[in-house]
Amino acid sequence: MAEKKVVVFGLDCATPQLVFDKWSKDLPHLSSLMERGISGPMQSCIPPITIPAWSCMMTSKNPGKLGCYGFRNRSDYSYNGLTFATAKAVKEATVWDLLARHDKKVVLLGIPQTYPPRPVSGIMVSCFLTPDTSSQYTYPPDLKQEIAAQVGEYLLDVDHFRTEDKQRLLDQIYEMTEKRFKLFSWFLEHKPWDFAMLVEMGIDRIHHGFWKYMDTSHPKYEPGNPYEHAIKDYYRFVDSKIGAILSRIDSSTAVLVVSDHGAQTMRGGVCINEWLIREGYLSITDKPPGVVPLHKATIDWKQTKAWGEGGYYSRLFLNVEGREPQGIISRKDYEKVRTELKEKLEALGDEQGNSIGTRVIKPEEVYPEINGVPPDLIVYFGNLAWRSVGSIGLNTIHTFENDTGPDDANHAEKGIFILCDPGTPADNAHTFRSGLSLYDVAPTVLSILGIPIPPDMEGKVIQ
Amino acid sequence: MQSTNAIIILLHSPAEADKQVLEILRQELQNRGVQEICLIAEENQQANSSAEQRAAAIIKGIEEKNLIPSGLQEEEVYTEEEAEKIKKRLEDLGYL
Repeated sequence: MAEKKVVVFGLDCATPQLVFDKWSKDLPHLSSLMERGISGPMQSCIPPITIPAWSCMMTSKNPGKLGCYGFRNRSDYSYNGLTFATAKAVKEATVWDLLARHDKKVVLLGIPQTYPPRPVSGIMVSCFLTPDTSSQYTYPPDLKQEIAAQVGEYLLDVDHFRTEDKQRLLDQIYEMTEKRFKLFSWFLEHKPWDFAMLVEMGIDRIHHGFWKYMDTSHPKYEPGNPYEHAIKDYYRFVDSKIGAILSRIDSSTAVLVVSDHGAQTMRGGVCINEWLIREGYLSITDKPPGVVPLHKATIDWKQTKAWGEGGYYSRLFLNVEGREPQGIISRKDYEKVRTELKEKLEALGDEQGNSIGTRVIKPEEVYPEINGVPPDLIVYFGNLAWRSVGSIGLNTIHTFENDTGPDDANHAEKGIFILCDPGTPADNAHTFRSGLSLYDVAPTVLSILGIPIPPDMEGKVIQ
Repeated sequence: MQSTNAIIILLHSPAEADKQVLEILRQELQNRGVQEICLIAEENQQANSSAEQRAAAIIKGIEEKNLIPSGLQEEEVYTEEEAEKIKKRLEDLGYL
């Protein structure tokens, strides 16, 4: 009997309300997998962001354990010591490390936080954190030539994402996806593998770029707009690409389709640093004219208690005496100030003062172990329906124009999980589950392949 | 990198009997309660391969299993120009 294999289709940002509810009948291949297997919404990590989420999924370890809280992390308590979360930051064993220790072969394509690529037991094409394709983005290095021969110029990601030229963006998303799936298909046919995984970023990009055209509840939705069906058409395109690959691989292969987080309408942005200035926590002595990132202003650290980072969620840092170079919050007041900020931010409503359900998280409440330098507070404005705007100079707390260009969607805490394993007991086929977690993916893969599951993995085997 | 209970480096010939040694060792150590065992085997298939070549093959096997720390530190991944490019890309994508 042939050795068991697992193939994983990672669809960054694929969201349950579209895959399981709204469009399930329009996605025949995903629906077929659901009918024959186990599926359901899958809880992401905190925060539900591409990095660290894919690494959390592939190690079954939380961000605190990984010491990785976002795309950039403080390397120390200085004010400008932010480093990128590259592959070097992942110190825990990934699924492919564990498989290599059992002589299994892997094909890995586009998994976030895998740049720079390092040796694996098989092949690896790293992710969009690669500067460009002139960089060494594959393992083994000469794989680059094979990629060029198969797809020409490989697209690591879309360029100039913040654009009003939507047709160009749409065309580029399709081209990127077409090439990625073509390459994946070619690898599956021509390389030895026991575990193969692709992460396609196109769904995330199309959500952020086109959500307002699709979601009738979006404040900027216009009926009859030319891109009303752009996201649906693209989901169908991805579904067809998955179907084409499935038709060419052994039917005994276990198939997983997973996403790192979901998506939702972005209602607006909360200008975190403007708010901190207004509330007296952040003091600026000199600021260039216009809207500028915080780091371009001169901060009076001796009068500053806190500052924040922008993004799909906010990270708040406190200026603590004896910790930060010019810290002013004494150790004994640290908890008092942190709790005060948490309560104020949770009470901050929309532009009319209505509650938006902001969640403010203290890292130690959600991470059993904390490594590296975590934020002092993690803020989900409007439970992620509002973005965190880090720039200053907007002269408002609420904004409906993003500081870095158009963006229609924010992340949501639940992604998708679909497992179709021919080895699953028939009773478990077509079961829609709750309680699925991103941490369950790695132990499930190891279990299917018959590899011992390290006891410190945080997830459970789904079967 | 994750700690491993046992790493065994074995130089052996392509003979089937030698390959079985690996599996016997794995089984024996598991029976004795060693949780995770990594066998790094290197076949001396080429009579003219040098000691350096054989050592490099073993190092490659260890690296593929992520058993030793990588050489570069995190901050050394990008040049200054590359770091600026990545920062702009992440801002463009809305992550920062």
